[in-house]
Amino acid sequence: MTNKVQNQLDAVLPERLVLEDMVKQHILHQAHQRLDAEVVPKRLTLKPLMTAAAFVVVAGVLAVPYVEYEQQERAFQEALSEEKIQKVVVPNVSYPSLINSIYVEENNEIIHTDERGIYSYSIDTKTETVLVAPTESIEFSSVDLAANERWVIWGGHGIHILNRDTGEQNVLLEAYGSFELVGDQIIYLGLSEMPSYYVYDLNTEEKLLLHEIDGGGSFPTVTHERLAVAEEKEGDNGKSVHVSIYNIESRELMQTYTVPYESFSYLTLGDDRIYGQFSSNGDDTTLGYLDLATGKVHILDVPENSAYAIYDNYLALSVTKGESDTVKLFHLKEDTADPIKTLNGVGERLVKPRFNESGKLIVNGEGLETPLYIIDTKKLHEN
Amino acid sequence: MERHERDRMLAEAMDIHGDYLLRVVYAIVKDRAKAEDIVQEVFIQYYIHIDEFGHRSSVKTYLYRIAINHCHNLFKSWHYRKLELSHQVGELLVSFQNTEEKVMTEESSDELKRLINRLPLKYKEVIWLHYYAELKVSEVGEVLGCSVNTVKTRLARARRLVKGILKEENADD
Repeated sequence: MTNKVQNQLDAVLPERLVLEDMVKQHILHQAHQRLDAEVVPKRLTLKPLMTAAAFVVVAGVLAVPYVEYEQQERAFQEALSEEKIQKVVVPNVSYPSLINSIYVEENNEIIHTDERGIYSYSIDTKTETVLVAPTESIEFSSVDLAANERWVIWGGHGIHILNRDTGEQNVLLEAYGSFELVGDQIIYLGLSEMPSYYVYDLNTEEKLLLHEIDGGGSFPTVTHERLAVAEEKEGDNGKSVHVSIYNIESRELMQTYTVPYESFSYLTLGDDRIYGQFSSNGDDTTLGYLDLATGKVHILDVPENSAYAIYDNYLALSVTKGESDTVKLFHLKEDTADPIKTLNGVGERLVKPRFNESGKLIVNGEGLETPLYIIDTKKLHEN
Repeated sequence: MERHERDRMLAEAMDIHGDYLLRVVYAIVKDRAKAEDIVQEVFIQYYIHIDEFGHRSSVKTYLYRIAINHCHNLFKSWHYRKLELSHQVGELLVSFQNTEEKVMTEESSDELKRLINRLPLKYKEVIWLHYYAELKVSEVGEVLGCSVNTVKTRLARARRLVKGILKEENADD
């Protein structure tokens, strides 16, 4: 019936796009490892005698890593019982919804979407509240979402805004693409005469143009007071990244820098630094920061990673573990990172590290319960 | 479930659905490495959760649902947003600065490929899931979490957007 269409669509695809046998073998191998990683801790507690026997046989080789894992697993359980780490299981919510969910500390709630609505799950009462009712006109599963105790913001055609106090909804139609919610304001990409970054005050509904875009690059990084934009440009001396820092309240351009890299992306603005991934000449990206006092770039001596999140001196990295990866926590000293090993005791893969405004680290677990872990990094590090 | 049975089910699912799943994911994310990563993750999730699967839906529908969710996640990720934002800004700048050149480039490119690739995500998904992966309209609804009527409406709009180039013989199923 649809063979003709299928052939037409086939012509749109590259040739030889098949799942090779080697790739299938690799998937099977990975699947074994991931399943083993999830069941190993249970086996160890259920079968202590067998575990002990295995120790005797292979003690020389395996004792050290095993004991280390046991210690880390115990430390992790202690951190859970002392509430330095909170494990939250939101029932009947799919993993794709949870991976994009938002922890709002002030209300101790998880804001999440499903295909048709936006919901709040109270961690205290274990109940769910509908924030935005299901509607056919918006596909919530594929929109960006941001939330705090006062606002819920989601994308789609424009930016949709829910005032949680009054229940009023508003749409900012001229917004285009990504946005970020900080307190009572959103920063978004808008289009008037030129594509520009705007700040929109959610209380006064006042819109301020901050920066006209003059090059490609990463979405800006913002704090309550400042916004930093990094733009990739090509000049007489080759490619470089131009960084502009604005005071949001006064709209003043405070500082500019030129960074001798082709790309500076995934930005995080700190008090006196902008962290991000630097790369040039197609090389792998390296994590570092632009020192705002000196204008110099410092590359951090940290493990190879595929994602990072940072708050003060606490750094969370998605680092290689076997043939997969997981999130590990570090404490930055100068330009090197000391591991904080408590998270190593989690039996499941951890993904998508992000910090909230008070410095709590949120990660998703990929085990059977697909939990969220909320980690009080300071408390964890104090012991 | 015994491991060998799990292995057998995974191998069977990869043999039957692997190629088409990879192509549909590629058609949506437009990056081979990312498409392979997503397909790998889909099959690993299937393997891990095989006990809970319980045949509430067909394996095919289940796999495509996980895959589409992963595609949506990718679109929301920092990395994709960075690339996409660069792309958006680039497009906007081009539209402001060099409209004539842009039109000439478009005229020389393959019409169907251009139209398909430019479809908004919700139309692109239904086209590839229904016409290429041969999921029924009801199954597409299950994969995307929307009603049969929504899927039919999107298919109709998608066909209009590609200007009738797709030589379909029977629209519904």
